[in-house]
Amino acid sequence: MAGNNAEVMNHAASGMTDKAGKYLTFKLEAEEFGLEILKVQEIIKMMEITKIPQMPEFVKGVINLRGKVIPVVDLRLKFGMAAKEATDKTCVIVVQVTHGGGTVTMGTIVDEVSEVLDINGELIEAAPEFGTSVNTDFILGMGKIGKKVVMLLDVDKVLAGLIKN
Amino acid sequence: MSAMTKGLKLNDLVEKAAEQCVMLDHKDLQGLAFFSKLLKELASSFVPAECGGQWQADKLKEAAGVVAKMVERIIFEESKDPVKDLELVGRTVMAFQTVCRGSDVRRAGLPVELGIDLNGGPEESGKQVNSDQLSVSSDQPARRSGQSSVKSDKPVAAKPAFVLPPGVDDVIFQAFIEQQISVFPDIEEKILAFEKSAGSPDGRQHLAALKRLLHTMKGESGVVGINDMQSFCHKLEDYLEDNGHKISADILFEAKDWLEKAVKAYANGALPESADELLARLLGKTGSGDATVKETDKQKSDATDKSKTVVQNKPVASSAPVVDLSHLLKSIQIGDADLAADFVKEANEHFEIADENLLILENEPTNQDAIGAVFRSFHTIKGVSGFLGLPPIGSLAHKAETLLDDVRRGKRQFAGSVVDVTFASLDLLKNLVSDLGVALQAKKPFMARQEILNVLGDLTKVLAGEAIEKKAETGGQKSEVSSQERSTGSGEDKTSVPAGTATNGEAVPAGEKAAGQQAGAMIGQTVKIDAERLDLLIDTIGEMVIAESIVAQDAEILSLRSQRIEKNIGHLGKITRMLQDMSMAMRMVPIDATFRKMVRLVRDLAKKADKRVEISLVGNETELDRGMVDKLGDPLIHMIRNSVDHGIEATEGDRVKAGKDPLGHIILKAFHKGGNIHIEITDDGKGLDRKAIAAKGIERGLITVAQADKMPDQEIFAMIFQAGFSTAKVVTEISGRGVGMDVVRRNIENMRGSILIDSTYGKGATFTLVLPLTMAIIDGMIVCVGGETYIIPTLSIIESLRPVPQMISTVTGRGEVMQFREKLLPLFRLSKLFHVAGAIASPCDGIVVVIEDGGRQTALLVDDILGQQQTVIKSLSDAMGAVAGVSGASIMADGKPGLIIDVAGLVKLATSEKNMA
Repeated sequence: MAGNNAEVMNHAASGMTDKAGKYLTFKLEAEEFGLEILKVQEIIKMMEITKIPQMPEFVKGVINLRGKVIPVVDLRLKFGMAAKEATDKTCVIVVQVTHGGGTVTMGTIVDEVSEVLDINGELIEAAPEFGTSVNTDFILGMGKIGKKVVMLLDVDKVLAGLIKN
Repeated sequence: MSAMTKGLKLNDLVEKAAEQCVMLDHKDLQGLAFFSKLLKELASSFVPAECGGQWQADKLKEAAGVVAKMVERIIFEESKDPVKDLELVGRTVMAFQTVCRGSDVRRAGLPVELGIDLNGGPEESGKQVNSDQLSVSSDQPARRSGQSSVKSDKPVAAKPAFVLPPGVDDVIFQAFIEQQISVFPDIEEKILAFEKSAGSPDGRQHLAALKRLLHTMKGESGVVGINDMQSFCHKLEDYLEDNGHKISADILFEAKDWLEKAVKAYANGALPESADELLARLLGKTGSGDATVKETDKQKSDATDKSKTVVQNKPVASSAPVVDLSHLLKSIQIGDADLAADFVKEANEHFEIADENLLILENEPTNQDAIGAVFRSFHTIKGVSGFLGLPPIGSLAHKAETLLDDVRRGKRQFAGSVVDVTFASLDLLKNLVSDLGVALQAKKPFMARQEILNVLGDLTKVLAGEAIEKKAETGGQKSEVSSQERSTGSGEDKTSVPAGTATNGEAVPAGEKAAGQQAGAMIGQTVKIDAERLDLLIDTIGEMVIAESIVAQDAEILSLRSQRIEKNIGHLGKITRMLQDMSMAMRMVPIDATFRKMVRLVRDLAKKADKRVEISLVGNETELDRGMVDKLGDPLIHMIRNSVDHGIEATEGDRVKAGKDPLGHIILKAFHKGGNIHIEITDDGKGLDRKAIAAKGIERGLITVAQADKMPDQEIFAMIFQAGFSTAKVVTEISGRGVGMDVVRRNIENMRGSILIDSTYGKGATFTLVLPLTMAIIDGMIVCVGGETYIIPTLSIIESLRPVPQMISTVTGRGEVMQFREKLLPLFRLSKLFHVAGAIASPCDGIVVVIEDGGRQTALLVDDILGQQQTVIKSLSDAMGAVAGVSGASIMADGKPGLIIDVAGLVKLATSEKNMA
């Protein structure tokens, strides 16, 4: 997933201006990801989670967000990375997922929140194709920020599977 | 009225004709002659280009010709029934207006009596563009104010597209829709009451009340431009008028249903289905009755309508300027004191608005917003007073409204006499309404002041274009005019306060309520609040309750052991609980509306099944959560249907044989008991046959023969709630009970309620729905398993106990069972079902909670019981979808969410897992 396929990128050199905008970037393992800032409601510290039975492993359970019960997804598990104990830096990014006609509030557990980046359209490239074996549906594009590459996530698609359950 | 040239556009001509039509009187030969000329000119103005094609133009010409001849016959006194003919003419002109606004001639509602063949003709679609242009080019609203046009009725099926008329915005329209929706239950009630008391004096009163409701609806729908509803109501009114006791309640119900559908359709911006067929039947019946004299003056008909329900009184001596207005001075028994009190309150608000806007108008006579606001105020007052049966107020408001309508449409300047008379009308209306308020408080009949005759006279003059003499002084200080008038009129006032004058032998109580019931209605204060805001407030209070308990139970705070803090937190807790109680009260609504729907249902079902069944409602004022009212409807319908279809014996003979009243009885009863709301549906029908149900249960393997003998009735009966229990064959064997019963059970369970059945075979059955007062709060037992806490609804817990080893046994391949009160219950471990690690291993170290679901008991093993608590229910986020065995979540005292166990779902989950194992 972290494949950095220069050829493909050059191929899509036209850029993706409609994806331009502010992104909240965060880390999972060593990789940087970005979420559209408009989808982010808030960032909260890791809190105690109530487990929900019969849920896929990456759904950690529900938390009490000021009286509202919202589900929390561990993005590490969702992306097939190894589970990791929460640290001081572990955060829950609360996002608004578009679902059907309305929006659903959800928490996503990430290792560390980095910064908010304003990414120009020409710096965003289409997601590389890895063939059918790797699903890149939920990647909006790849943002090139200096030497870093930030994977811009389509949060609706990342969490769509959960909603269907 | 002189200028009438060939240059006038078709649209203007039609407008002019419509206008003329209102004023027409069959004795006014001059007016008729002018009108007939107008009609002829109209006939020649229907050119294909303006009317959407040759065919349409021809038909319109033909219609204009027919009515022109009709008018001529009236002039030459050849008409048998000039009033009726004029009415027909009016309707035709209305149809012309509709065509001008872009309707197809076939749908414009040309009266069938004209005998114009509207079959055939070209497709309608082609003319659309053309007609649209027509309606755009019309610089005036094609329809006159709904009220003044009421008399000339118009059976319009539907306009191609529904557009709000000028001066009506979305807010008004929305208010209209809401208003109508709220009226339907009343209409239904009146019809039912009428049906029951048909032929008796009571029946007539119900009919009168119904007519008033329809009349108001007619007026209001006219204002917002819904012509088909307006005309439908009008027809219905005629029907009621003409047919008296011969009226069939079935037709009325159908009509009510159509209206309800129409309102719903309009609310969604759609057009209702055509009412032609229904109307035809209605008219068919009307035809048999005597043709009634239709008043040409709406106000007159208004008054006659009402005067029937008004206390007849010796006419107060008066030198009335207009002779036929004296009836307005009769004293009026106020039918519904509460409604009237509301009206007083509402009217005062309108006066304020009118005052404010009239002042604006003085400075800017052409301010359309201001004139519209005044117009609407008068209009509302007219509508409501008409509904309440207050002709003096209604007719005064009506006249003033007509005048203002002219101003609104630019036909009159808001200046001179118009200003004076408008202010005078408003002041008089204020006085009348305040008199009404006094009469209400004193529980006395209401009587209009004599002044009304003067003001009405002035209004009529001004309407006719004459100037009136200025009372008092200049036009600047209007409020002084009124005080002047009041003081000059004080001599007459003495006669206008009725006191005991209404004690007349021929007194008929107004409305359906006896005069004795009209307690001195307190004019209470209510505030309309957006439902969403209310929900938000209630939610927030719910959160505060949680936050409070988190603070109050905080270990750190408790460790302070400070008396002051303890006292303060106690105080906070008290206030929080008060707030919680209040927020609960705000959610509560009476069950009345839901119950009343059942009355109609029983009536219809009984008719269909050819039975005579009576339903009585008990405790309709019982309140329950707003959110539950809707959900309760379906299960109630199912159960009532069951009671009527299968509970009550098939024939009256059967009932008599069983020693019962031939009339079947169903009692629907609601009451509070032990923190729950109970709803009982009792019928005195056949009852449930225990033997047949038990046999079926054995056949299906639900119970064993040995069990069947020992099981209490309750549990046997509960089997009818099993899905698919009532197969076709069983329906007859067990008296049909069970149809849709599993649906009922599921619905009730979703509301966290339960159903109890009590029945004596042959005597009848009682189904009791036990529901929590609210769906927002649950009374639950908090249990822990491993490190997790769960909430089990107290309603489904039978008992909790610590088992001893002898009670538990393992059945090979079927898991564990526990002996409980001589029964063997399947024992499930919550830790296993929810895959929680770290739970206790031996059942004897934990606690077994015996839970019940639809009469089936199950034992559930948990580690411990932590306590009992009322918790606010939060839905699991939409994102989670349905989680088997979990119905929702709740915030626990430590701030963490706890899951609420769905007992039925859990049992299902347990049995399916067991099967897999």
